[in-house]
Amino acid sequence: MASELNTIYFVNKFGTEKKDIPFPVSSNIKLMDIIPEISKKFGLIAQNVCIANMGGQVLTHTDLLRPVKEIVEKFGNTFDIIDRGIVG
Amino acid sequence: MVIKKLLISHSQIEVIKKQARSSHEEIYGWLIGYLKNNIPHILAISECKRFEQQTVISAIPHALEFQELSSTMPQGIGPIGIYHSHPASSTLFHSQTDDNTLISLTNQFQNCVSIVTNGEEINFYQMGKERKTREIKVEYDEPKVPDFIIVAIDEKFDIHISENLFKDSNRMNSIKIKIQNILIDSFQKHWDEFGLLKNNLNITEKATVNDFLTNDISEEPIYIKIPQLTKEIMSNLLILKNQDTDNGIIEEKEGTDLHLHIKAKFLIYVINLSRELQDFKKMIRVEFLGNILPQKLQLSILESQSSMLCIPEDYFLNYFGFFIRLSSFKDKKLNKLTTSKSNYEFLSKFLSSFNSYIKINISPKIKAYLARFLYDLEKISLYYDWGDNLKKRINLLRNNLDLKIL
Repeated sequence: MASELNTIYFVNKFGTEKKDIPFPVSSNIKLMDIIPEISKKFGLIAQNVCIANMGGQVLTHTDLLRPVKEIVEKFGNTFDIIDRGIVG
Repeated sequence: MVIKKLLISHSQIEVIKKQARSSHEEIYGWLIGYLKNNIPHILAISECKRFEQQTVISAIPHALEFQELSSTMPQGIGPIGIYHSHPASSTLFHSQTDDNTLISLTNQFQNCVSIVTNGEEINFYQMGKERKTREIKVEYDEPKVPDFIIVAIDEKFDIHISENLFKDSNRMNSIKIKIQNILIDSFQKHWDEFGLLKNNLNITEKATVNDFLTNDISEEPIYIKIPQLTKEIMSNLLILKNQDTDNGIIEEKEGTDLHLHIKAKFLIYVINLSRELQDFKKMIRVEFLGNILPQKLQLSILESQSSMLCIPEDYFLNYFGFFIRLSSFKDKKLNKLTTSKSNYEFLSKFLSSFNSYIKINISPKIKAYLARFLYDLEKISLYYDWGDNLKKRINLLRNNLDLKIL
């Protein structure tokens, strides 16, 4: 049986203009599995990416391994995609 | 060196150098501004205060530090670059790690700038062709602040919640998330149907943005208007039930109607004055649905007795000539429940950063901006228990910076 679709909205706030990408995804897929694709769409290096909901909660590695349906029920459907901006 | 201009106040450069000199570890911050004629105009700098890692050879800012800062920024002005220090280095360079970050940031904002300082000297970099970092030329001048349009929404919704779910106090956060998810999906789906109004008159498709520009925050906003039929469709989706215990359809008499008054006001700074207002509809959507509405709903407070979902209002602080937005209630008790801690930490950070402006030669314009920001900060602190504490710090800073009380 096909699983339902959830749309997650990723927002990037670096630059003069905030940009968003709606991402329809199967509800049983892990969030981790879509990070490389969504990072690529915004031009970020996947290893530098951090995901946070709009209540200021940064998703942990354990969170990212949970299915999208659970994530959306716990954190909401809109997330900031943040470049960690590492310097050396 | 490639001749490519960047505009920034000399005072801000001196502050960056001072921050670098005051730390044995790498400092980090964001350059806030806009782009005009392909030239980055830096209006403000924002020092990072919370790190995941901070050593003499590396710095990783905490992700929330960037989220908090960027969420307060208006559309049109934002973080367009970074600065950091190499404390142990006598000569300046852009490391491989710095290059990789600049590549990533340039992918997000094409004219991104990276500043490196050792406290004495300072260099400016951008990503050039074939992903090669290049040093750029800088013009020390205080950029003008562009004008903006003011956008607002004022809509009421009733959310029908099953009795089982409403009585379950453990589910309050879950209720807020469910409401957020339904509303965001619904607003996104119907966005193209919404109109724009000013003074109760529809704005035509061909209206240019120039006709709506202002620099006065108190001016009548442009309202986002939901057509009646669309609102009915959206309202019909606002039904929540407890998936564990509620079966099937909830009868009207079985539930509670939760009242939600969505009020928001936000700014879009405009650089290209000849564009049509309709061109900004996407920017308005992203600001409202990708920033303001989810944030307000996450900070909302469910008042069971009055069946109200209270959401915070928008307050504006003049930050180096442009306005940043803060979510806050007018009521101290409500603030204590949600916004108090985060707003205190956020606003304290500014006060702490402003210490870097002490005992350096800052321009009268920057001085006036600092005085104005402290004035706005003092006003908003009245809504918080920590208001008196913050006021003492503000007055101390005023004395140290020799600022006028407005």
